[in-house]
Amino acid sequence: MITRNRINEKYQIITNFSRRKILVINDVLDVDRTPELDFEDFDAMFINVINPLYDYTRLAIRLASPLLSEKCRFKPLFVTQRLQGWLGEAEIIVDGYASSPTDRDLAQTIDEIYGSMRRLNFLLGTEPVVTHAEEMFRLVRYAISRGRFTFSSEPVRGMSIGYMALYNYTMWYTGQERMAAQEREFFHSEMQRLGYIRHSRFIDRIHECPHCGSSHLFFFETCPKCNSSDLRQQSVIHHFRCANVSPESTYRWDGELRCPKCHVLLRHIGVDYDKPSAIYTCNQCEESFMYPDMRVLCSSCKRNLQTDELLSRDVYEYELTPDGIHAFAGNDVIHTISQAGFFGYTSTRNFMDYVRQFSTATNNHDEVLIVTRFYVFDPNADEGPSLDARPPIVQAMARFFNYKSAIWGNNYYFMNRVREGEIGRQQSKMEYELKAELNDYKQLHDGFQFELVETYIYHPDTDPETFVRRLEESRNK
Amino acid sequence: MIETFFKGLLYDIFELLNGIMVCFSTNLSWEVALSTFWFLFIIEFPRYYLLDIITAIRHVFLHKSLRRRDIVARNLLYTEMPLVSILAPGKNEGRHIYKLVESLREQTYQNFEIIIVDDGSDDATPVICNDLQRAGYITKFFRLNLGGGKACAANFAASHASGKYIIHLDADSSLDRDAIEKILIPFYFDRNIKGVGGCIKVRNAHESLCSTLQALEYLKTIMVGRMGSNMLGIYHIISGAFGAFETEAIREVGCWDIGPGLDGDITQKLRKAGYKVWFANDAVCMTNVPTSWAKLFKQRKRWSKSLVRFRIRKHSDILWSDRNFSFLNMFSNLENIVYDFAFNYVWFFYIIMLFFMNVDRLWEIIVIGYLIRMAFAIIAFGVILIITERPREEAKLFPYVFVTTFYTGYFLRITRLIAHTSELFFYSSYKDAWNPKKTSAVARAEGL
Repeated sequence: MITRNRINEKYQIITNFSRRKILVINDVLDVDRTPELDFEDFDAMFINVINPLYDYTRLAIRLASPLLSEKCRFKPLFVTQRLQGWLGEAEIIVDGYASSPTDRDLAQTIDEIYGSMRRLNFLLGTEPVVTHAEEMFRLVRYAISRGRFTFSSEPVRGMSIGYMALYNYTMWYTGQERMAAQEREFFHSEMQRLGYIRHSRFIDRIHECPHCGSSHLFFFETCPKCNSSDLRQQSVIHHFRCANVSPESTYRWDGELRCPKCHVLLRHIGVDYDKPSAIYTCNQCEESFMYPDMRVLCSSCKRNLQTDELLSRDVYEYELTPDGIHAFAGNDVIHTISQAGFFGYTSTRNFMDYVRQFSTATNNHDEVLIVTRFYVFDPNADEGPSLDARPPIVQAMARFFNYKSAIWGNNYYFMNRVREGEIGRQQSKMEYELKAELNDYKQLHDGFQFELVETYIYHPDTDPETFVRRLEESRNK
Repeated sequence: MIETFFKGLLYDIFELLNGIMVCFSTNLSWEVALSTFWFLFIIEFPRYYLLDIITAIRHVFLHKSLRRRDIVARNLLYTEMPLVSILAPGKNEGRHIYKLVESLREQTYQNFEIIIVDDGSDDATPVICNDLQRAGYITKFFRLNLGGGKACAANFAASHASGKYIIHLDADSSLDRDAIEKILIPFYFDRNIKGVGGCIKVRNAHESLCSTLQALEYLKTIMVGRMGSNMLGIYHIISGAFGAFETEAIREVGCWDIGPGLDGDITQKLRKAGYKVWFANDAVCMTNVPTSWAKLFKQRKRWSKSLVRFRIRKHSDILWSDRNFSFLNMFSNLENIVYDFAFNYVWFFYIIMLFFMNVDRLWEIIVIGYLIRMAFAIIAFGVILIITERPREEAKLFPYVFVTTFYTGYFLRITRLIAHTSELFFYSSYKDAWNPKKTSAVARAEGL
């Protein structure tokens, strides 16, 4: 039982009656960076943080998440009953709510989760997550561990693509979405190719902005003449007696309907008059018309579009096949699924594969790749506690998730995919922000040195092998 | 054997010719002929043939000076370049719209907008028109989900017109390349002209005998006849198939009222408001006419009824002196009533009288009557050829002149007789399915 004095401690480990060890977290605790705790020390987490700040609770959950934390991976996560309904998107990784960690239902749920993992021969695995692709694999593995074998796409508020199957609770930056959408598409096609998943249901065909890929679109009915959406709709009255046809407002006369042509009072619909139609009138230019145009405004890039410019995208529900479940449960996917299509930090081999793949893809003739290469020297890399598999400089540069990056020796590569018209702007932006970030790192770490070696631009029409050789040759110089 | 047969045939023909000769020389002195065929000579000839001849003579002599007047007016028109709204209201006309729009794109005068109103069609018309609007062929398209009749659709179209002039077209008609320009010219040589009618000709003239005869009739009564009445200042009907109006004036008189015969009605209204109307004989519009006699009979009955309904009933005030009285207006209405209505009954009794007075020499009367009418018809055809702008094409209709007597002399008269009588006593135009029931009921109750 939790006693009053022990609640003041940041965490404690409790053993429940089915002999499961539960990590009770009373305050924000970075589990990975707490050396006293090990993977084997506990079987489940229980969040007992009560703080008026929503983000504070959210941070506590994130640091003990079965998805993001190395020491907590795949373990059941419980939250105190009092937070039920207050967690927002974080709710999806919570396995249950309980009033106390020794709750009987909680213990049963823990047993069920471990039981189902055992049935699937689920390998808890000890290899740390390094690349972005591996983060994705872990998401699927997590879903399997919780008995979810379909990725049902559901409309999610705040997602630029509108629909999200599995991964929205890992998104922490709104700018990450565009890249994530591309990666997801690659991931899906890769899994389908290997027979790991199949379409189980067509959900919807959605439309997205051709420029920024966002599906947060406003649709306006507009005036065909001046394009304004300031329209009023009114019905048209046909007066039988004199065949006058005009909008209802022209008939309004002191609360009654009186014909503007013959000034006779209209008394009875169907006998004196009827309403054969309705027309729109623009309040800006007074144009009348029957069928308004449709204009689309993209809420993220603020561009005005025509409806036929929009790209359509099919949203499916996917289902894992037995092969897929087996591959993910045993963590074989690290070796079978290509990681070339992912952004973020990857191996150099994948980095070069991306260039090759980019040249063969059909739909990006107006896009080019920009690759910047930095020379970095970090004498502290091997010192200090190495809790992560990633080099410290990679961790420091983690916020550039939109760039595919790789380290080979002392060379640090960043790659970005841009439209041909934007090369100059994007290149200088990329060089500036990377240099600024590396400079910050230099301020904090003595002896760190860096230098921008060169920026390369790759057109998809040219030979990828020559370009890859250029990248490698210049490294050897 | 054959020889004797031909000899006999020749003999018979000579005998017949001889008989006719004898008839003319002995039985038929001028006095006898006049007393027998007084209707033809005293009533028909001055109105329908003498007037035509005068029109033709005037056309020949004044042609050049009128042309100069037109050139000046044309320059004024092209200096101002007013926006013209072309209205084509109609029901189930979707399949004609594209052709119409194509012919409009060929026009010499190009500053116009096209407004199509679909009067509750039950076919693909709205889809077609919507597409044409998207493609920019039509400026505006409106649809009335509940059909309200031709007047309703035309008024709806007119209320959205933003041009200085309104041109009303039937959707199944097509125009000469310069028709729009020609129909606008009269507005520029007389500022008091607020309505101009175009010249309607028949497009499907060679489809059947019925349509060929109508082609001849249109040439005679519309092209030549209206030139004559226009000359006298009693032109009284701007055809619905092709007519131009000044937007302000037409709105002042409240646009169209319930038909049938709403084109004559609106002309009458313009005249009553003190405006002049004009006939532009060189603004040519081609239209399709009924090809079967039954359809033609129905169409003409509808047209004829409007004479009783509008000229005799609704606009009877034109005949009496009041604030807006004008002698010309009275005369134009009276001429129409007397010739097309009153004299039709006179003709009916004349025919019966003729029959009973000459039972013994009926064949003689019929043959001579036919010959006189044919002579008149040939004169009229000559006038047509003098006036028309395409004499070579019109000349092809000549063989039909010999049968036109039966058509204009009997068929049309009898049709008119039936229509007038049924309208006069039974108000049958209010039962016509051409208008929706709901509007006819109100019109009947209100006496419109």
